[in-house]
Amino acid sequence: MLKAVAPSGMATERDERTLIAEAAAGDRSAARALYDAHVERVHRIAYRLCGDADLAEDLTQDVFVQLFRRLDQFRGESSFGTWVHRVALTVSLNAMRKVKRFRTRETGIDEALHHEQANGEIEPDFRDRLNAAIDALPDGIRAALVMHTIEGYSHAEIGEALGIAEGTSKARVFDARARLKKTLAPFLNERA
Amino acid sequence: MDDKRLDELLDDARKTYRVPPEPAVEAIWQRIDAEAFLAPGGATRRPTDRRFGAVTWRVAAASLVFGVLAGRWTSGVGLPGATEADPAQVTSSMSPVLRPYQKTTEELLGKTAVLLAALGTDRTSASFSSHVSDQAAQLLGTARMLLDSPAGSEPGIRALLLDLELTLAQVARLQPSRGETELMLINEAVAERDIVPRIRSAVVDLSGGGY
Repeated sequence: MLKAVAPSGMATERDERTLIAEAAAGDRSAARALYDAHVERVHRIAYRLCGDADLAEDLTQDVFVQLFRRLDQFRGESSFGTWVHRVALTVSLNAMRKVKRFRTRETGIDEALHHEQANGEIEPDFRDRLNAAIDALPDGIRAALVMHTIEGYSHAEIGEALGIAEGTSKARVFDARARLKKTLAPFLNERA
Repeated sequence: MDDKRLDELLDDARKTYRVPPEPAVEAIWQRIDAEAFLAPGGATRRPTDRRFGAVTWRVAAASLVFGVLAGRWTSGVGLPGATEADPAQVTSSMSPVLRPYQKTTEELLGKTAVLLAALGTDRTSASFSSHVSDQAAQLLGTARMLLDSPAGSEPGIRALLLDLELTLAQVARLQPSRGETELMLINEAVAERDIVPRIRSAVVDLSGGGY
């Protein structure tokens, strides 16, 4: 039975503290309520960063297992949501680096462009180009762009999650935008 | 392409870039429930490989120190009484781009390995965390400087430096209040990315001119 969950599905701040204490004491229904309140966001972060449905579910599982095992260490200095997102980001970024070494479908943007042009059968869609260009960004830069521009996190939140200064987060997003413009410019010119 | 056009594209990306499928909420919960609450030790169980990891790193760090000393001994560099070898000979096969940064890179790798070994000892007191964080912040600065230097354009060393940057950034923000969780995540990441073996390999390559 779920308890102390607001109608929107998000536990309120006051209720959340109770849920955390109960879950830390081994109350699985309280843990389930915390899970329900945050699973969608955690899964979305994981999927946006790794781009693989199965892996995103595995990462979501890892995030919550780690959180529940360490609930007694949560001091409440930041909100529980911030803690959850920080762990989700860290777990996802760590996994991405490991997975990337084994993944063959992730190709660099140059390789992707070459393949599509040589193939000649598929007219590359600009959306696909943009997505491929985002995929081809270096991990740290892509993470900042995805978290800020696509997921709507503030630079301060990204800074805390990635362990970088707020200004560094801004610089990475700026860098990402510059790289995207450079990568996509030839295609825009071609279309024109 | 101007910023306005890019903003339009990124607006579209919010709706279309890696749109997550509906997660299997119940199935994921079942696995979490089984692993976090039903497994022996329950929600407070510690991963069993954690202690193994700490021991592994201490051994790896010791091997690293041994490897560096052995490399210097065989090349005649840095040991009392040894004849100084001609640096040009020692680094003859090293990329010219890396030569000016060799000493800094070696120092960074060595100090980072020692730092990671210290992390593996599981000490999360306030003074320890503060000391480690300060040291990591200094090393992070060096790693970023190398990444921005011509040495950072060497593919072999760049990949390692990028991993070190992320790891050191995590260590630099380590706080005693949440040290246990953060430390666990860092330790897992270091193990998963084979960072210590890669540092050891890089040091050997640098000493022997592999890059």
